[in-house]
Amino acid sequence: MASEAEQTVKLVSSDNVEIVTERKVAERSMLIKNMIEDLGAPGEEPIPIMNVSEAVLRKVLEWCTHHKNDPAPSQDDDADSRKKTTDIEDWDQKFMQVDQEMLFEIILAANYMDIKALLDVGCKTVANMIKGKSPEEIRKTFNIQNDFTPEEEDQIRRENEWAEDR
Amino acid sequence: MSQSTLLSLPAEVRLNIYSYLFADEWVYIDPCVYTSPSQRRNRKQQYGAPLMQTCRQLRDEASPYYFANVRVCFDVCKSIQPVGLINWLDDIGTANVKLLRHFEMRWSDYVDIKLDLTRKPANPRRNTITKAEEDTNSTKKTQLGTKHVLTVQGIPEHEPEYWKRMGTSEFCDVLSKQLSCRLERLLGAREGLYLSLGEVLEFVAEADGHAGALRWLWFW
Repeated sequence: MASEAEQTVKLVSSDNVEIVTERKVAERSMLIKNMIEDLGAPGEEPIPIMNVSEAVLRKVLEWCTHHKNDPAPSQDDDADSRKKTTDIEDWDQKFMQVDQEMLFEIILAANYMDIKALLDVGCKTVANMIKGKSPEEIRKTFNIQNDFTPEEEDQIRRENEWAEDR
Repeated sequence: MSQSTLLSLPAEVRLNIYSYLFADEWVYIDPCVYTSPSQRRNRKQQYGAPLMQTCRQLRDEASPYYFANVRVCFDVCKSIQPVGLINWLDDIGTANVKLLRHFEMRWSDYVDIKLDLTRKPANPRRNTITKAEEDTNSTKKTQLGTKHVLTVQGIPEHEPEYWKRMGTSEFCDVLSKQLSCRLERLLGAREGLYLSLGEVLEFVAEADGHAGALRWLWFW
């Protein structure tokens, strides 16, 4: 039997395409890692990734391949205690230079496949797209309809009357 | 398949986005002491949280995160009512005021009083940072309460020589202890981690009163 490092697994995308990848790469996904542990015989049974299409799954696996040797996050590194920063390493920034449709698909896939580090990179990317933009620019970027009533608009105006930001 | 958008993401994913978006958020409250309303309107203003002004869904969802994260910065001039702060707190409403956790008050261009409402005692990593900062600002005094962290320090615009002459370090020490003691009593008597609108203003008035009295005592 192949050692764990050489093992491969078969993943099946939502559009029924089979993708073979290293076990180590696939196990960046906690969903897949748990499935492999439950199934017990990696490589034999194809693993269905129901909600993720081939194009998105390949993109996600590209990220997992690049990050396959990353150290596992430590226990005390929980979301609240560490300083939140929107800094993104160069490779990840380039990786995330995709159209908005793909960006959100990657985020959804990372959420579904339980790949926390990728989900965080995606969320930081969106946060950076929002930062520094006016309400109108944000609406335009994300195709959001302004549904405030005149009364609500008035309330917003008052809240901002006394405050200024950078 | 319908196209994925910001609004169609699962809510928990958007909350994750907000946590990054608002991590460094701050708002400066115009003191409204020197500037007439007409002048203020002429000034180019950028808003605290543009995301919350885009649509109702994002406003309702992001508001609690915004108010819990934003650092509320304001100036208080000795014995002058902080009109801007009062108005802003009134406008965001009592429910949102109770979500505020971080206040940064500059008193009379002399010291910065920073209050964080938090249950956790500062973790070890944070302590290291505090230590490093203390090396550069010798006047910095931090009090760790069970539900708050209070820091008083001379404003960075002044030189160490000035602080020494003024006794700023002792001033910060006494003031931080007085205010922290008061907060400990106030916050200790309740379950929640908040200050009401009235309590925020009382705290500001008390800080102003104590600071004014301390300066008077030492530098008559």
